[in-house]
Amino acid sequence: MADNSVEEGMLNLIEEVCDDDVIREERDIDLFEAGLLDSMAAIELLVGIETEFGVEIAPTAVEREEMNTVNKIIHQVQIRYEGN
Amino acid sequence: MGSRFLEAFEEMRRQHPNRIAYFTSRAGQDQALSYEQLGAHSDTLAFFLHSFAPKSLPVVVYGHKSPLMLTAFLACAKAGLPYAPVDVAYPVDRVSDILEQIDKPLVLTFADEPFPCDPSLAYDVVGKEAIESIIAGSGAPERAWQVSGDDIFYLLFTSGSTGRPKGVQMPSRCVDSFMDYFQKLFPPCENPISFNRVPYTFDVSLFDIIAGLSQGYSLFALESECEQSLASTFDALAQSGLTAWVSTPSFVEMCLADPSFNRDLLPRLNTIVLCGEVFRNSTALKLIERFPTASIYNTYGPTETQAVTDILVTRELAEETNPLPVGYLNPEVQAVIRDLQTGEPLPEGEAGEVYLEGSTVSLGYWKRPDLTEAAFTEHNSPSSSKIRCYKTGDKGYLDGEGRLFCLGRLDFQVKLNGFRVELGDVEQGIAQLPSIKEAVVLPVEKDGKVTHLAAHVMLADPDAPKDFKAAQNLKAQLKQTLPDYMIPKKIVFHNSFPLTVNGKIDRKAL
Repeated sequence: MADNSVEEGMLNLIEEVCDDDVIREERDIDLFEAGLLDSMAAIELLVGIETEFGVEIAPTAVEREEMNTVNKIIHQVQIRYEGN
Repeated sequence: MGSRFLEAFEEMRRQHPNRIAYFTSRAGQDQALSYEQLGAHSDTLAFFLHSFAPKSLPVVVYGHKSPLMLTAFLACAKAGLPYAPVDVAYPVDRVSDILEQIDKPLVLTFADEPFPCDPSLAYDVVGKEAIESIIAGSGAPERAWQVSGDDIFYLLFTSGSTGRPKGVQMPSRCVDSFMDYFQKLFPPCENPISFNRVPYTFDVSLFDIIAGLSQGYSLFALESECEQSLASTFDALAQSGLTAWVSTPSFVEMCLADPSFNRDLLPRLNTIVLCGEVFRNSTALKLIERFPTASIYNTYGPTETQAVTDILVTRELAEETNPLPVGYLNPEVQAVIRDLQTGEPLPEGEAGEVYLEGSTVSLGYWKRPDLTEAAFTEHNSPSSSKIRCYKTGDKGYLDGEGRLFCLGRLDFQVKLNGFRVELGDVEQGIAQLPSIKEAVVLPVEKDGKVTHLAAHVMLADPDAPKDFKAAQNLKAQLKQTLPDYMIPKKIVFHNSFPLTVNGKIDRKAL
């Protein structure tokens, strides 16, 4: 899977978890502050990342500040993704 | 008379004066509160409260997790006063509403931040430092002051469908009866330590306060800064030495997402007690795999009755029975399943509304006879003692073994990550905003569990912007009146709502 398809897949996943397509446009907003992510949904996202991309990110391995925007989340997946 | 719970606590204080009663992730075991300290501090504070606080009016105890909060709870019971815990996470409007409902209560505040409400709503506001100096003084309460029988022990405010929280009044005799029933879930062991995880505004926090402290347990709580990060939570857990875990299934699911949540992290854990929402079979099986030697219990009970059922969840049960039963009843409490239309009792196996009657049913709602009358009844037993009964609004059935099963709600109440939320409460909060004409709030479910709320709104000005910024703006305004967990994740703007043939908003079509 190329980089941009990881990105597209991640956008789909984040949109599903946040239940809002605004995340495609607003990629640098703090999703926690915007009320689009909470700690439970963040875990759901990490589980989804493992299922869909085989990328394992333990919830204790990332702090909230490292995964609070769309761009940061995609970055965290890309640096762990095998193809890179 | 008096409180048998307080008596049991005092017995533990005599037997284990130096044992830790309470410690938090912030202070650690070095700065813990011992049984002797908890006993002595609550004595002096009770002495002060007895003369200072307005008679028989609930004392509002404001803060999050701290040894002083627990000290204040016991002090109120010793002084014969009810206490009402209020968490710092509540927005100022909700706290003010609670103060107004109680009508000028004494407020003890243990928060790091200043008390947010207009002080004229309170009889007086006494801060942490003043209380610390009171505690350092002397004075002993008389035993006759203690709460007893029908005296209210605690008042817990829970979401109300009309937009105002309602205060569930739990009398001392219910606390004693709950203690008798639940002690079995806190088994005696060497250096027993329980997880006082949930906020004090939630009845599950009383599991280990009542059943644990009465048996010499040390209570361990996470401070809020720790709750923000799962990594710090796990560090704190690893240090804790926990033997008994108490939480919602949601919190366990969150922990289970991390592979390090297992026996190596909590090697002393022998008991896991879950309550507050549906405990899914898949979660149970994972938990059994990670903690093969621990006894895992599913429990159930609304705030109005405290927990009334329990069942040991074995691998066999989790594999073969879906949904999991919520359990066998407290021997002093009976479940009656009634037909939704006729109200007639139904035979085993048939689903209807769950009514609970017996020794832990609350007195009803604080100063709300209308709400109390709608949900509580009383009848005479064959021996002509009074039996109180609570209409839960839960749908369920009993099987041939006497196990209760819950199948969800019959009204507009939902459980969101263990929090009890009336959709009407959220709708009221939104509808009160000047920019809103009408609002409907719906739960969004995934795999049989509510993941979040969606608010469908019509704006007063149909031409006003309906973009992301507008939605953010609404959420920011809601934070003034609703706790964070009640704020809908999703806001959908409509020009009109679909209507049913009767002209009501068609919630299903939204």
